[in-house]
Amino acid sequence: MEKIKDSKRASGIRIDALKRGRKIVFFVNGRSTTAHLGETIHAALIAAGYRRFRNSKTQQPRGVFCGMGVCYECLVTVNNGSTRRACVTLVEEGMEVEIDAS
Amino acid sequence: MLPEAYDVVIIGAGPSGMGAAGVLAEYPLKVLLIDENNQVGGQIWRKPAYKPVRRFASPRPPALQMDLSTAADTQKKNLDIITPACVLGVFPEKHLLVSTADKSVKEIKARRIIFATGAREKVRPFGGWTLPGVMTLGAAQILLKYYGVLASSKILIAGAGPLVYLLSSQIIGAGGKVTTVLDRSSPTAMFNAMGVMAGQLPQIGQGLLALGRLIKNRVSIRHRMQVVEVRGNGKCQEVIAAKIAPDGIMVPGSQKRYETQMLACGNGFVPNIELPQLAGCDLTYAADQGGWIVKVNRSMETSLSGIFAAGEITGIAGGDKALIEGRLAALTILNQFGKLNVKKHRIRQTALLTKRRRRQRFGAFLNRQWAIHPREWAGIDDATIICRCEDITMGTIRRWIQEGFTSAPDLKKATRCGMGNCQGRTCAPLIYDILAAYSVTGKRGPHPLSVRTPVKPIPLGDLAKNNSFVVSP
Amino acid sequence: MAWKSADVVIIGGGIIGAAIAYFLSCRKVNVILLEKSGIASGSSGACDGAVAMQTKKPGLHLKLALESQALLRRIQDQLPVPAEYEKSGGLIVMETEDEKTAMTQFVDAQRQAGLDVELLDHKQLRALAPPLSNHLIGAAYSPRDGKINPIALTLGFAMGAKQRGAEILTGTAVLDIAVEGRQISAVVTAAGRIETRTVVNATGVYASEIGRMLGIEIPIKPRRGQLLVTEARPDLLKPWLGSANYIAAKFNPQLAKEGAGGVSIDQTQNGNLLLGSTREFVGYDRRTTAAGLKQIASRALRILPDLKHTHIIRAFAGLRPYTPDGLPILGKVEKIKGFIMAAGHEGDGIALSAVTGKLISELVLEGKADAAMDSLNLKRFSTGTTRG
Repeated sequence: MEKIKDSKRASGIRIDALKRGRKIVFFVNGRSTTAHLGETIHAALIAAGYRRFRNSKTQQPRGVFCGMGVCYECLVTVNNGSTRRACVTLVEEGMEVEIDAS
Repeated sequence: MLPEAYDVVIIGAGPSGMGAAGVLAEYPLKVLLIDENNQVGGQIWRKPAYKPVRRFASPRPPALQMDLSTAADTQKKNLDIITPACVLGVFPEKHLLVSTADKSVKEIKARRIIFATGAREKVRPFGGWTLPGVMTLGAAQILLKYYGVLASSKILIAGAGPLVYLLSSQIIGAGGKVTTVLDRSSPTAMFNAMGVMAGQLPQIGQGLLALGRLIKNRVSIRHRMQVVEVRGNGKCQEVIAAKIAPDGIMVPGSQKRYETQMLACGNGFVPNIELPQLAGCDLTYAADQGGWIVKVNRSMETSLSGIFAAGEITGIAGGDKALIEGRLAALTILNQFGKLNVKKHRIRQTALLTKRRRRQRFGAFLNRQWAIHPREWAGIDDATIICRCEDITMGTIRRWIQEGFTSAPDLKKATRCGMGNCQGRTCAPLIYDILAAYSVTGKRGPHPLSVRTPVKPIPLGDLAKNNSFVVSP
Repeated sequence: MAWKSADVVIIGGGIIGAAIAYFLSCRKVNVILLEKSGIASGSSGACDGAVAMQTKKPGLHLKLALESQALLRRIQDQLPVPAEYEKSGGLIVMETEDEKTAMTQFVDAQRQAGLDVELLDHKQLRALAPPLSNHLIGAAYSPRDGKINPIALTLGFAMGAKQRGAEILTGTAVLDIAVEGRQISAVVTAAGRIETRTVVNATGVYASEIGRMLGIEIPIKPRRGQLLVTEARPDLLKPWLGSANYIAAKFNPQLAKEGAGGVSIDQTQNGNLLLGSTREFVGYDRRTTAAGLKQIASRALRILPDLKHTHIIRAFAGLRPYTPDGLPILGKVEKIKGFIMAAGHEGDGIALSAVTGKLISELVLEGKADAAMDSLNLKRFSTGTTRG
């Protein structure tokens, strides 16, 4: 069992028990962020410490809820166009993801 | 290129779909297995996105699990597996409208359809359940098992059912910390469970191993505790839980505060009956089987001839029942196509039905654990959001129920619940429970929300693309 | 032994029945509204919210629509549910020179009938609504067209009526209408008998079923219209939009071509866009179809290419109560005393709801109809004459 360094920030943590795909770089609100091929946007965002993805109809903060593509809470904007569910959309090299963390 | 016609189309590649495919693939029939996810396995048989270099998500999965790699690699001439493929609609004469990864929308004809669409998780709502940092048990499990990401180094787990303990154990095994387990069921529920599960040793073993690991790691387990509020500055920062008595009343002075950035909670499952409902299959509302389910006979055939339903959609009872029912449906189809004589069919069917009955009993037990007493619903604050897509509160729903809007479709019209992106997948099960709790099913009786094609969102451009459509009404 | 009694029993809890209940209740008439399912569960809950004057035939139709629109704007603040009325303006876009020719004539007739409408050229259209396709050669535009939330308006009328003393019984189907001599005496439901001498048939596409109970033939049949709903996209298109072909197909079949085909686009206050539609005679089938979805999708995309990546989150179909001449059937039915028709509004029910409510309530209270109402009477069908 591995020891996890306790941190104040609620970052998700990539465990070392898996042989991941190639490391890639994508952009979150213009900020370069690492991910691995084969990850979904939501896994990469949570590992990078992002929990707030967007605002609801009455401007309340939202993030991942069901994690399986059913609830449509984890919507993010991808490559300046489409709104996608972060939990079922795979991350790609150079992808531009916009989240509304205001 | 997708051929147009199949003998059998199986919709959903979880345990029930794969159970059916495994049986059918042995025979010279043209079979199509599809799933809207990128891979087969559904929710509970998900293969990790990456190869594990060492086992971390122990305990060992149940012995009945089909070897996924064998099934997935079964590129027999007669079994096509297409993932992702999303069924948008079902039309008469067993025509399906399917959208595939290449963004095309096609029509597929089938002689037999097996709906194996599984279930989604249910959460008992509380103030702040919409905050970032609050997710379902399944969401936390998928992140961990599938992507190797711990949602946080420390996670608070709440809810009821085997997944509470399984997930907690998996988090610890991966090096994470479970601060507390808030189990809303009674302390004796676990022992009662074992009684109901008699004969299912692998599952009992799995449960005990998980519990053992929690005890070994000194995880605090609190029973009859329900999260009643989550607070924080734009995210989950603290969780308030309280003791709920069997009569649904919150015990005064029982509130406890827990600091946490991540709460994973779940309280049961909801059958994904949208496609069989759209097809016109008869449904029934059974609280001890997960709510609205598809009616099937012993052969797993629905009220529509040639259309079958298997797994969670005929009653929430777990992966084993799903696998059994997938096989049952496949056997019936083989008999109908003359590939399996009546005697052989009956022998295999009888054996499977006996196993099925045991699992159904366990399922009923679980669903009763997840039931929420009407008084507990009455205790949920007016400000609590029920429809997350449209931000509709409990108070709004109560007001319209009082005005006489006492069916789910009427409430949808009045409140907009169910009109958002998720099309009621999250809120409708809560609405059905709320209406039942207020004993106001009204003169029309319990009514599910209506379903129309497309059952899942699809970009306009994909719909408009120039594909050959059979113009069927 | 009567279960209940009322001055007026209104059958049908859609927008027409709810509006009539509201106007009658405002005038202290004792009303029971019977609805077999739920308020707005039928056509009124399966349509878009256009309150468009441009789609009304110049003449009585347009006159009534203008009156109804003005009335709606006046009374909407009195209703307990906000109806979200918006003076959005409306566009009828043109793609070909043929359409332009036809629309020029239509616009002329409309202006003569008193509607303020003008023709915009390509440049003016792009300035007014930039997301629209570049290939459009222009549009007819009326600042008078508006939009509303049809479900909210129906609920507003119904709850407003309830607040003013009306009784609303949902889940209550009418089984029969009792007649003594030639005078209505009661309405029979599964829950009991309601004594009344006046029944208003506001059942829309089911009007003929009620008529059959009284041996009266009512030529209303359902005409299905499918609608797609997109995810919310704030502030994309302010005016209501129809295509020239859509209007043509409604009134002049010769002008409706197979190839291009009409479309309507209505952006709601919530931000979703409602894309429509179809016109199909398929009985009471309220399912959406693959062909219908594809037709609407491709047409909408042709007019608003920006929607390419926008998700359709659901679709539904509504049944328009179609009459042979496209005009509603309003007024007393001579054969049976106390029987009043208020149905057959086709795709104009939302726009004409307020004026229908007003006219029927006046009919009930004052006993006589004006000339306009007279020409909309049921009797125009049996005599073979139709007015437009």
